[in-house]
Amino acid sequence: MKCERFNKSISLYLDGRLGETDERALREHLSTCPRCADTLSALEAAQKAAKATRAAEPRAGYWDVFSGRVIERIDAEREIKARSPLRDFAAKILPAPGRRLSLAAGVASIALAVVVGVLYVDRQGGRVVPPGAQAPAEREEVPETARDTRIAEESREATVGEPKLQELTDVQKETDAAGAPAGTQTETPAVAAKKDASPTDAKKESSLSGGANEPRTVAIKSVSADKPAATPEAPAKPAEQTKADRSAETPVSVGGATELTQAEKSTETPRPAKRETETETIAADKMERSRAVSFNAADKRAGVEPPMESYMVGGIALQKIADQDTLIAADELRALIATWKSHIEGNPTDSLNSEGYRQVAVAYCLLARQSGDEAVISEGAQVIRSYLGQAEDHDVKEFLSAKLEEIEGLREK
Amino acid sequence: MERAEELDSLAEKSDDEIILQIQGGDRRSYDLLVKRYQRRIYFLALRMARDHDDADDLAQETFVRAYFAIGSFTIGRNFYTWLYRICMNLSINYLNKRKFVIPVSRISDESDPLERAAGGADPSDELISKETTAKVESAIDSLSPKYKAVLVLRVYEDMSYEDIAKTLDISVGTVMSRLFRARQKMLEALEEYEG
Repeated sequence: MKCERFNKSISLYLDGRLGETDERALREHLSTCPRCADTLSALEAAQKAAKATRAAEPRAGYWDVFSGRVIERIDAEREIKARSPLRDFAAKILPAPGRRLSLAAGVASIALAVVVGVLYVDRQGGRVVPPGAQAPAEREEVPETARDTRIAEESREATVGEPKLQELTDVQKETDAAGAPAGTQTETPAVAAKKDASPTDAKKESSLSGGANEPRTVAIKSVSADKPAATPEAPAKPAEQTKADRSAETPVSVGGATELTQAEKSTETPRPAKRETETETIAADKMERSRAVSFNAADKRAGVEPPMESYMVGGIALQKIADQDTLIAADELRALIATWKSHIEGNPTDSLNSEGYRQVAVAYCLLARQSGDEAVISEGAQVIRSYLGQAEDHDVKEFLSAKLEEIEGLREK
Repeated sequence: MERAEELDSLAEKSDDEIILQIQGGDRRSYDLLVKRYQRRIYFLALRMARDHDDADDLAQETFVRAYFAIGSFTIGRNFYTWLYRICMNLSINYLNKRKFVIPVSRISDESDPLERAAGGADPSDELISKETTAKVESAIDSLSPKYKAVLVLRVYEDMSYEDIAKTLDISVGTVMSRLFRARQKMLEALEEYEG
């Protein structure tokens, strides 16, 4: 018992971290306890032996090309980041060269239009009126329903409750960017896979190829800082509001470019149609915040724009996907799955993983629905099942169970 | 030619000055930071991975990560510690993934990149047999990555508890207890080797 008390002291003593009194006590103990004295000398000897090793220099010329290889890898990665299929698509369809739009923005505006339409129908007592059939002035005359007001108010509260980008301190941002926790992981999925399979072969390939064709994560940001917009600290909302919220947060469409711009502008210049202005402002606020929070400075300088609502996974802004995102291309889904999987594997304790589990499950279900391929279904089911075992949160488990059921249901179909 | 002169002048600048330049848009200056720290980062990775190719990959990845995150680096903080942190996290993740264990047969492997007792600075080092150092190395390698990390930083890098805490993003108290555990486990492994 007495020896146990001194075990830790021996370690501190070796590092010169023991206080005077404690050191005296330890010395006294060592003089009467040969076992502890042996431990100390064994540790001293081991430490000395360890220090006696010197690392061999790598092959001649290695250092001359090292930095050049780093730069090559960086260039390759920037190219990959800039070559997202969605961005290519957005770049092609947009008339203004400087303005890019992610698929998410389009979806948001369509959803916004739908919500406005629904509210409009409500005001007409259930009568469906085609958009544009009524002048803005007429709309103003329609009295606001209690529900509409509540939606706007609750949305505003939710907005106020969310942290803003400016609130992130430099230290936080830097820490996040360093990606540190034994959680920072992130090897290229392909490199990781190669290593798992055949370490020796993989090593050579990875160091030579520089991963030019592989999606690579770069620096992990913490969940709390990255994703406030996705998890507002607002009280539980009624079902109606969820709908309105979704309209503000969810993505897609092409014609959304103009509407989004208007929504953004509406924060500065209020428009006559009060309810629309409010809804649009909320939508624009949320999108802007989500974009700002998840978009780090390095990406900005690299000229990479993140999706409207996204997670920062290894320095890459990964689009947040949902069941209704059926337009996302298969290779985009695969890239998303690979990046999340790599992050989860490398950072088993990261709090972002619960979102990763959900996103991977959703992506597999979308992929399986698109392809109907048995292999995809099996792979997806297997991955979801393993995440089900890893997830600790009850809600996440429930979500994954539902997804597992869904994907396995596709097999039966 | 002009670029070469520019790099020469940069070589005399501090890390912060170079980083400010990079953050201002001159990304080419990053090359200089890589050159400045490539050896230290590579050898740190080598201590963790014990394999040249893996260490090379880890070191390269460290600099790639740092490059993409340098925009948010806070001037005034220690860039080197930051790089160390990235490298150690990558190494820990890598070891976790590999369930890294150095096979005992490797102890006598001549290709091991760590040269043992080959005339260190301390003449008494030569008295330490290759067999002993091999066993100690192997015992350190048998530790789980989180214990190995603290021991590597303390023993090989001679880092203070505070710097280890910053590098691994843990508290000083955790550093103390991990070092204690790491040493205990190392001794247990050595006892096993002694049979």
